[in-house]
Amino acid sequence: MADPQPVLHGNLDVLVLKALTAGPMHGYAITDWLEQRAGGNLELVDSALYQALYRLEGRRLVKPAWGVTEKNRRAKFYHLTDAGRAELRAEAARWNRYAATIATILAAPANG
Amino acid sequence: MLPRNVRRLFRLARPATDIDDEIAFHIRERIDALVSRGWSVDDAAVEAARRFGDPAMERPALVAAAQQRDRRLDLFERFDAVRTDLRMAARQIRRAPTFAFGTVAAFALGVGANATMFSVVDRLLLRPPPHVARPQDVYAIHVVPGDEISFPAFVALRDQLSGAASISVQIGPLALPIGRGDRAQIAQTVFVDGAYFRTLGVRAETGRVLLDDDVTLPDGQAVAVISFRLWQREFDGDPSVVGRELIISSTRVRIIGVAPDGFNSIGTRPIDLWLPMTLAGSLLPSAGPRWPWATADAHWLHAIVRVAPHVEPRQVATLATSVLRANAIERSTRDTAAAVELQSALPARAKTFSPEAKIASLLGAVSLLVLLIACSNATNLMLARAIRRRREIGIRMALGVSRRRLIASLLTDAMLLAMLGGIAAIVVAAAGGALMRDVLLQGSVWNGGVIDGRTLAFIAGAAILAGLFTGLVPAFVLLRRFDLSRAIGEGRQSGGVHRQRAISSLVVTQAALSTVLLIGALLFARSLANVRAVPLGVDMEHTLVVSLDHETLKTPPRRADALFAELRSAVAQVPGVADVAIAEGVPFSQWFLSTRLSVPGQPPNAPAIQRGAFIRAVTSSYFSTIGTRIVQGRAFTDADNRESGEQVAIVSVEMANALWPDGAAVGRCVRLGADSMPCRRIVGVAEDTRESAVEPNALEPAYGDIVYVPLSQGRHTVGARTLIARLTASPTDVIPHVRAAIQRVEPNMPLADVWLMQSRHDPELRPWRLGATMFGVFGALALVLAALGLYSVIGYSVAQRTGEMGIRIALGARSSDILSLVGAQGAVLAAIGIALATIGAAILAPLVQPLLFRISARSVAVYALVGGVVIVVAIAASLIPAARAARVNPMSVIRSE
Repeated sequence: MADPQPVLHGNLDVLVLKALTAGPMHGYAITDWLEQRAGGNLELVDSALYQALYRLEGRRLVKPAWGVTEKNRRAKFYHLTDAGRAELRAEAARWNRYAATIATILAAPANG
Repeated sequence: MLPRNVRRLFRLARPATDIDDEIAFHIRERIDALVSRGWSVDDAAVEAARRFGDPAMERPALVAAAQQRDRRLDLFERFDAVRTDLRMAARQIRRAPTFAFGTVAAFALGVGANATMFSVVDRLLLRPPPHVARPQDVYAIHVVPGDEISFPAFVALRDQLSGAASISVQIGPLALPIGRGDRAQIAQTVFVDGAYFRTLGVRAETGRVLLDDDVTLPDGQAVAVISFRLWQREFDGDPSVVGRELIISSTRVRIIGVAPDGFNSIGTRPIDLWLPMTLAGSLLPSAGPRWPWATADAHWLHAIVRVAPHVEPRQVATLATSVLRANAIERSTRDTAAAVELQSALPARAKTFSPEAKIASLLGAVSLLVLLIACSNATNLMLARAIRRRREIGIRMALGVSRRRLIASLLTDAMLLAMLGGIAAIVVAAAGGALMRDVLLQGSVWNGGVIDGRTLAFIAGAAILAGLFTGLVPAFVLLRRFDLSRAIGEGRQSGGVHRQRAISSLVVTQAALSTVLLIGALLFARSLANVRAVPLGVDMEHTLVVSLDHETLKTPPRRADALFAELRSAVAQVPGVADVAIAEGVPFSQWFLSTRLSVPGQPPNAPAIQRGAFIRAVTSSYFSTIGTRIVQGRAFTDADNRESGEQVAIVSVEMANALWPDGAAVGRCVRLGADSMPCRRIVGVAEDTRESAVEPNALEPAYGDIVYVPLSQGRHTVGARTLIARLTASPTDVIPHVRAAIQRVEPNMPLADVWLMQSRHDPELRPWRLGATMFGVFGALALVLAALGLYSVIGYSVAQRTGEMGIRIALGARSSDILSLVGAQGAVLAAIGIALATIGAAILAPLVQPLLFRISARSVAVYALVGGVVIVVAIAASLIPAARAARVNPMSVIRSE
């Protein structure tokens, strides 16, 4: 298995939005969700996640609300706003296009 | 709403603790997760901290990120608030479109009127003359008395002022015909000296300006500088215009240059042509010397000076005064006691304003009053509405909406209406500006469109101020001492006394302002009527004058007689022309043919004889044509109009009374000119004629001393000869036919000047006509606004007192009792307004008095009449809601209480 890849600044935002499609989550749950799906291929710095959350909140893509977890701890839950959902759709489409383009180029024969 | 407000309250304290809680939670979750996977608690804690990042670095970064987030959210919130307010304001407009339309219209008229007057005042008073270098150093010389200077005086001033100031002169502007046939037109022309353009510091747009060599005596050069306007109009801005020929009258001149766009010397009236002064001799009507303008007696020159940088203008005036007096003594001319005043070329610094500027300033003040009325009306309506919404506002406040937000929302309502009004005001100002240009500034300079950047900026500023005023006043009246529980508890019906008072005082203000405006309107209307009532001795409305280009008239008298005989019969056949006469020196033609006179048996040094008289040489039909009555004796007959016949004369009443105070002028005789001339028998006395209703005939002592002689016995001053016609149809219909008739007689003639006598008197009437019209329009507008305001106030108060009315009716009050109860309320408010207006008008009276004619600015009759009208309108406006009150059904009202 290759070394875990650092998540580039800005790319984290779209991942956070994706995580929240599963429902409102607090910060740790988002980390957990992402790490499970990355299968150890992504290396997240936790503070960067909160930077991303605040950034998204400032753009009104996510909205926080204080709540209580199953273990009865007070935590801040984030949920997607309508604007956040639209942003995710747009960003995902952009990513897919980008990835497809890169893949096409990489798959092309060197002297074709 | 509430959570945001609460959150905002704790905003400063929040992010840091918030973040710390969030971090702490995160790390505890991480430790739990690791421990559940078999880590020791200590190792898990270390790992969790490592995964989070260096707290010393990360925490401040997160706090900063959170702060940035809050700033952004704040901005969003404010933006949302404005959007919400705007949406609510738009909803208010949809809900009450009549109210909105009325308010917008009031703003549009108020702001539009102000913008119009601003654009006029801006052009007349605030802008320096265009293209003049350092206009602050340029002054017009005014000689008191007399204004203009003679050529020798100019030469003396030029030589002796050098160093302190450079001086130049101009003759005119005068209207000269240019072109031929169809292209013939009148050009406003000034004759200038060679240093003129240098003194003003003006460069040519194309070609060159006039230089010293163009204006050297005796003949100078036959060259011309044309205006940018003329260049565009007649030559389509063709750059090859320089070197082309222009026919002025019948003199051919070469165009040497085009003046820059908008240059009009230092005045505001348009000038089309600048010619060398040396051309004045051949181009100006005169039977006299070769350079009529250059003699010591001819005070024809307007002088301007550019004061040297280190010199005080006052020193120049003092020096010029002494030079002028010395020159006058040397040449024994009139200016021996004259004084020189310098008038700045900057209109704002000028000591005396042009009549147009005075009127414009006055109208500016009037339009400001209208804006005030419009604002107070809008404020009034907004306030009434805000009071109706008191309960809703109370509930919003109880829910935690801040006062600031409430004020902002009231302000947004007003601002939206004001902005819509501002947009409509652009249309009003465009229309008003065009009207002003045509009415007030007839023939004055107005470059570019009516609406320019400065006017737009003014409209924006005025609309914002109006919106602020209209929005903030109700907000403060409403929120001052706002009693939350009462506002919610008492329901929709009743209103606070102090708010009612605020609305009433606005109505009083409106009544007062409209009364002041209407008083102004009536004063100006009466002045206009008084001016028009002054007998001028001439039927101004029906007398048409045809003056020919004087070049055509430089024909020998015999040829002129034949030409005029032809013209006379041609014009007489035009439909709508009743009588035709030929005359030299008719009123308003600017010809004064003065003569010496003597009377046998009267001492030659008697004042009446010393001052001489003016000759009018006329054909026999003259008096019936022009409408001057013969008060004694008879008019001329065809038999008189023979050179061989007896020498006869008719004199004006003023002259007759001066020479023969016994009242028996007819049959006496007067000798005109040299003593060798025969003594003329006086056959009649004609009523006095005047060229001004305002100025007494005192400009020159002998202004009213007129002696009429038969045309054939006159001096044959052909240049002064005109054809006059009495019209029985509308001048606009007849004038083209008269022109055509003249063209048929003499196809090759330059443009003949055909004018109605009244047109030469109109400029004198214009200030009053304008004042009466504008005050009238604004005053009527103000009265309508005030009536609307009163209507809504009374209506509001009736709605508030429905219960009380019901009880009154139940207790036996009749409709008439209710009507007079409510009607009296309106009358009282109006009466207070009128009282205030009367005091105000009396205080302002000295400002207006100089603009009035034969009526006191404190005329009791005028005040009483206007007061009566306002009271009647006020009662009428309050009777409509009063009638509604009288129809109240007592049972339903009392039940609903």
